[in-house]
Amino acid sequence: MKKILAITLTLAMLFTMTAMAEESKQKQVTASYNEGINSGTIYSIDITWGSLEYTYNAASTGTWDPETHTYKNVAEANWTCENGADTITVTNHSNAAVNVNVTYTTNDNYTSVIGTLDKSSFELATAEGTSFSAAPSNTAKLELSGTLSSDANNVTVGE
Amino acid sequence: MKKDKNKRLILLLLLIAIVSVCIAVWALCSKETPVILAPDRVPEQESNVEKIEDDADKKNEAPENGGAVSLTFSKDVSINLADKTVDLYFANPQRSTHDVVLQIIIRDNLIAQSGTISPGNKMSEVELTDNAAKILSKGSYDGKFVVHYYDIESGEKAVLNTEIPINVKVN
Repeated sequence: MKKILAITLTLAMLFTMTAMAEESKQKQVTASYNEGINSGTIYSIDITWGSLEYTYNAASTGTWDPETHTYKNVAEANWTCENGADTITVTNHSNAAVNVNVTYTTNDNYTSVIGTLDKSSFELATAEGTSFSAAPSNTAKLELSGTLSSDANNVTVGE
Repeated sequence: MKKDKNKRLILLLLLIAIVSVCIAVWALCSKETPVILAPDRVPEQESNVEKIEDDADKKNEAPENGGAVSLTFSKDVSINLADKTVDLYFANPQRSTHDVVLQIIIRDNLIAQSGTISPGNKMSEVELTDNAAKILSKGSYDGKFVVHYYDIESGEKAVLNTEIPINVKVN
């Protein structure tokens, strides 16, 4: 009896394992390719500029000092501006390098005023691998020279 | 007699040829570069804009009486001649201190111009100008964005603008 039971159980196990093996053989394993998101190039730049407001200080002959027989506070004509008013800063937050060209165009009505940039072009590297606050950045400064007529007040001399 | 007649005819033809060349040279040399003027004061709001999602609120720091703008854009632009529309991506993030107006220019021709795009807004479509629909044909062009900035409060145009080279595909 015990033998018969043991044989029966063994055969049952055998059939079960065989059936399971057959199921395993029939079960297909599938795989599918899911394309990842390719960002492409996204350009993002910050541009900061000062007031670009300048003052033309005409030449000064100074004040006569009778004690020394000389003129005090003699000054040549010059251009001045507030600190930072003459700067243009470009910051690159893109995932690609950018070339920056900075140009100044004189107003036809004020050709005696000359604008000169210390940098007319520069390249900013990609922002990949940098933090937002440490993004590649560069600054150009605009200097004015030449003369301005005495009746000019808050006029646009260029852009 | 006949020889004289022929001589006169040749001289006449030569004269006509010289005059024609002169007229052609004059016509070519006197061709003026068209001037594309951006508005001096901020125009009406652009209607084809959407809010930028997840946009930061904090404004960029700008120097006194200066400006600080952020621009996000794609350099690839597509024009549909049948619909007279331009597909593009251009955004003026919230942290900008100025409104912007965007022009699209190809070979000194104004192809499209937006209304005002205020900070926090983006644009994905703009209408072609009537002239652009006439002069463009299918193919690829080199163009540029010209971005003009306007003070949010006074509406005055900033003395600075930005030009960005773009690739334009016309369909």
